[in-house]
Amino acid sequence: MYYLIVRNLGSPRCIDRNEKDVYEDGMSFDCTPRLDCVPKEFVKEVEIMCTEHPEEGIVAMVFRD
Amino acid sequence: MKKPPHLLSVNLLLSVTLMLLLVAGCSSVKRYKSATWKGEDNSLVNMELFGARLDSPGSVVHDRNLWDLSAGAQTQMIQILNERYPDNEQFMGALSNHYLAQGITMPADLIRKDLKMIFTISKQRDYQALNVSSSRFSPADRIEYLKFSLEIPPDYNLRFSNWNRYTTEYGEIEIADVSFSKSLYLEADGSIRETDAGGKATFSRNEQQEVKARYLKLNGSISDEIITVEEEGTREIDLTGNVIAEVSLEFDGFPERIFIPRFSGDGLYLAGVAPLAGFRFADVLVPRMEEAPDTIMANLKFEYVYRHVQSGSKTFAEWDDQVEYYSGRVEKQIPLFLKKDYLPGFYCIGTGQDQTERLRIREGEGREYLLQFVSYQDASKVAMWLEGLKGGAGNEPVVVGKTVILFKGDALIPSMASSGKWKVMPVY
Repeated sequence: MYYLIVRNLGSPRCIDRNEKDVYEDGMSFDCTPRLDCVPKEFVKEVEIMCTEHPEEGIVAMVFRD
Repeated sequence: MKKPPHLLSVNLLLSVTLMLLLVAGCSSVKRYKSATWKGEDNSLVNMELFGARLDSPGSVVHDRNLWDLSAGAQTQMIQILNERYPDNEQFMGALSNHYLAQGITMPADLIRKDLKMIFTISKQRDYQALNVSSSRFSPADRIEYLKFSLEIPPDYNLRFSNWNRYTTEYGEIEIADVSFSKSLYLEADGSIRETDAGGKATFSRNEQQEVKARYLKLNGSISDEIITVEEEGTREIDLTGNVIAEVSLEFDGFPERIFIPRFSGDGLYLAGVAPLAGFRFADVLVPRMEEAPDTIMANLKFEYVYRHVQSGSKTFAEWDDQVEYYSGRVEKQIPLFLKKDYLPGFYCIGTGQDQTERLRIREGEGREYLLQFVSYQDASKVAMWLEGLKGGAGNEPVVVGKTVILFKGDALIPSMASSGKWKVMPVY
């Protein structure tokens, strides 16, 4: 399982998970959820946008279990 | 011996001419007797941020009554109330009810802040060196020109958005714009006048001595990351003292979902017995910063021109001064505000251990969120309600409306809910 994690105000949050690594730069996600994730291995960094506030890009990290 | 009449008239003419020249000479107001630029000295003036206060622009009470609805909705609502409350008195009372989130105050804006900064501008007062010829101090010295800027590093995702007010010893100007350029005149009667198109000023300083052409020139500008103020004082106007700069700031936003518990019954909460009927949610923006630094620092730069009176300091008038000008430039880091000032005051329920041991919720479509509240009271009520679930059905998950409460990835069951381990904690 792959996890998409963003960090804000010093606190990490898992906003999406997928069985495949579908995460690419420029994708948009709902940034409000906090899913249950078990991140173990860092995969890559991507710049995504939050659908609620699409003006600014945000750096997210992709992990896998 | 009597002088001939033509000599008398020549003398009279000369006297009148001399008197006219003397009057003309005395009435021309000089700035100084002589002036020289002596060089740079960065130690003559200091500027500190004496205090800062950060406020939120305000909060909004999220409730609605009948009169907030559209005309069509009002008609429908009145029909429903009429059917539900046949009694006239009850019907009239129901018209004034508040609906949705009665009494709940939501933070209106967590990313916009009003910042009030008090700067202290001081000059070196070296009285011990008063009669030393090489001294750079006399009691008549003043700071004639000052330009300062405050810059916020881009890492904070924080920017200036507006000027609100600027206050000096000589007056106060309300700005409400991104730039200003004004002069504060000290009138002969001691009052102070502001000149500029638009704007309103209130002044409190009284000048006892007679002044005719004394004024303070002010201009300022604001951009996303820098505010700049330039002050120039003419004729005895010393820029030493406090100035207050009031600006609005705005963080970049990051979305958060917060929850508002809704208890059944009459809405009153009595010792944890009111059943939890559901959660409403609200999406808000909080400051977007990857980390939460303990202190937000800013870069203060100031440059000045210092008017040192080498000779002529015995008189208040400046026209007889032999002036030496010094310039200076200083740059320093100053603390603007603290973590507690900008972090949102949300609360959640957990065991007090790590972040994985906080209650979350799963909504109908499978989305999971941290169960976080806008107030300690809301979080505390829900925690007490959980404790009151003792004796609930065995392994059936705790469901509130269509919402499942989760703990460490699993649905919370009543025996776990009433374990007595819940604590209300700040989210950040």
